[in-house]
Amino acid sequence: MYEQRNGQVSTFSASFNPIFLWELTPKILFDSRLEIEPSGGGTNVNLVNAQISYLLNDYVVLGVGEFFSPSNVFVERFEPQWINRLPDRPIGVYHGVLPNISVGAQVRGGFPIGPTRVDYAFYVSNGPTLSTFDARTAGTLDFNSYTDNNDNKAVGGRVGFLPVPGVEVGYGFETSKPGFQGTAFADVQALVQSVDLEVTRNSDLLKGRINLFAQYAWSHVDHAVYDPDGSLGFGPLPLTAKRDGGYAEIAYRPTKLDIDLLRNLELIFRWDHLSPDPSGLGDPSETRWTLGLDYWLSPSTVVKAAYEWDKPNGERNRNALFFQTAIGF
Amino acid sequence: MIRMLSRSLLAAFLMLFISTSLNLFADPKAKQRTATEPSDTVSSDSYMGLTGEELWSNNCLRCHNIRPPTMYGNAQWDMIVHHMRLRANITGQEQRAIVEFLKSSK
Repeated sequence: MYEQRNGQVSTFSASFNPIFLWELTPKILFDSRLEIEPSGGGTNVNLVNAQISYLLNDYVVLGVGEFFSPSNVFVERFEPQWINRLPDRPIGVYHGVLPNISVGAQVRGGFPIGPTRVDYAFYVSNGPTLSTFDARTAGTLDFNSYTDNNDNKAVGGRVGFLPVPGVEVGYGFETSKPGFQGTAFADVQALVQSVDLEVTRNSDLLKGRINLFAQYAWSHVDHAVYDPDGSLGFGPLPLTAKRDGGYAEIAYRPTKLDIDLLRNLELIFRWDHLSPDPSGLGDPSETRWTLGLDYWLSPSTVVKAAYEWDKPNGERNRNALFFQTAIGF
Repeated sequence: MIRMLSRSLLAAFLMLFISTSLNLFADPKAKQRTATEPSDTVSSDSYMGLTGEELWSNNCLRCHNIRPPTMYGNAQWDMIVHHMRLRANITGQEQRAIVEFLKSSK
């Protein structure tokens, strides 16, 4: 990927994300993904997920390990670069309010209700860590800490409803106690919630396919006093920490035109937003508008170009130009 | 907390309204086909009575472009659809109908 962002040096980047699938029996599957990318003078290798799942019956699947958090539909379904239609990811649901990866156990599945379908996923996991030591991030939830900081386990999930084929509405949540055990923050409760919508429609009228994705999330951390004795230099800071963010994306591909060149093009428009850090001392709110144009060389090979209007509140713009090629195989 | 829950529910209802409205853009032929032409691969609990082909198209296209059945061998399709069952939360019968379609279409 090539990224040229206002105020930063332009740069190329690359990554290789192999997926390992091992079906031990028709009921047992091991799946894992690595993320390998150059960094500085070396190479970073990260374990993205590693899960063993068991098909209990037609409607229930059990899983244990490190998995994409079911409460965040974007990371479960749309995050891979050959699926995500834009070169970067929405800030609200990918860098902010919701968990991306969970370590624990889950139960999931789907079942029909008359002509409609419901799908579900519930899990227990180590949960997030509450940031308490830094004025800028006080009250935020760190979802990238995969080892637990207390005996409490986060409980979360998502329920989706498909009223007709190609349309899904979902609600996700995760509740936890993110404070370190033995500290004044041990009993502070956190709740994150998310609603999402996915629509895929082939239209004769529009001579093509429309995909609409939208997701909005809220996080709430109960009232607490950060740096109560002032020893960290920013307290006492009483705070009920709230954050929210999300995105809406619409994509159009003229799949019903006869001209190959046009049929392989896809036009994408996205709005995404993340509220300021709850302490008011960290990052400001950020709203971005992104326009992208993709050319699909095969069903899973795409060349993307996009321009992003990015204006953090009170700061100079961080508008960016992207070019990216992605392949899934 | 209650206000946040209320906003979540309001947003969910709004999204449901939008999704229902977007059905105006649906392909009328596809709608007619799903309602009147159940095929051999229809499973008794497959929602909307969709065929294996329709399940393959509808479920895969929700997230990404569909790959042609000839792209992978039978054993690979078994494993790939097993994996996708975990992501898309399709039922076991839908999984079998999709695999059956993919294997029979090559």
